[in-house]
Amino acid sequence: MPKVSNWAFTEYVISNIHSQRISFSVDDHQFYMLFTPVLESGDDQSVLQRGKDIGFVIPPLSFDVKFDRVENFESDQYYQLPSNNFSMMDFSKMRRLGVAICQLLEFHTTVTGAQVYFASAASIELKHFYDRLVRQHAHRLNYTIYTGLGEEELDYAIKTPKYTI
Amino acid sequence: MRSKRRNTQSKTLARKIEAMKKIKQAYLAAQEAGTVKTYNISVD
Repeated sequence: MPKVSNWAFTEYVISNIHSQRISFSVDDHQFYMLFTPVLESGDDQSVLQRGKDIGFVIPPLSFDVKFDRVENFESDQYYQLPSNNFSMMDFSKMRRLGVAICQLLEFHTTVTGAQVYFASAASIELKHFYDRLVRQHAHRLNYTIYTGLGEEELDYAIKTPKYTI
Repeated sequence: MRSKRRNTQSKTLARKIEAMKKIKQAYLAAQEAGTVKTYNISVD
C-alpha cells in the first residue's frame, strides 16, 4: 500500500500555545490534520473533567487531533463532503487515506513526543472508518486506543508508545 | 420522531465545528503575529 511521500508540516504559536498542522493529499483530495495541545488550551477544570471521562490523568504532550478537507477549512464550511468537482473517494483512495492518517500520526508522535491524542468522528460513517483503522494499524503502531468514548460514543483516546504513567 | 442517534451525532459535530473555528482563529492570529513556520517533508 503506497504511503504519503511528501507533506507540509506547519508549526504555529499564539498565546504561547504551540500547535501543528500537517497538509497532505490523496490524488486531488487535499487534507489537513490539526493538532492542539490539550493542557495548554483548556482550563484546569475542563482538563480534570476530561481526565475523569477517559479514566486516566491527561499527561503533558497530549493533543486534540482534528482532520478535515482543505477547502472546508479555508472556506469555514467544516466537515462537508467533497463536491462533484473532485474525483470519487473510492475504496482504494479511502484505504490510502487511512494509511496516510496513520503514517502522519506516527510522524507527529516522533516529532513532538506526543503521549496521548484525542479525536472524534464527525459522523457514524467516519466512526466506522476510524474503527477499521484501529483494527488494522493500532497493534503495528503500538498505540493503545480507547474507542466509543463520550456521550455519543464517537470519541477516541490514543496512547502512543511515548505515554508514561 | 427524530432518532436519538441523529441528535447526539449533531451534538458531536457541533462541538467539532466550534473547535475548528477556534483553531482557524488561532492559526490566523499566528499568521498575523508572524509565528507560523512550514517545513516541506519528502520521503523515499
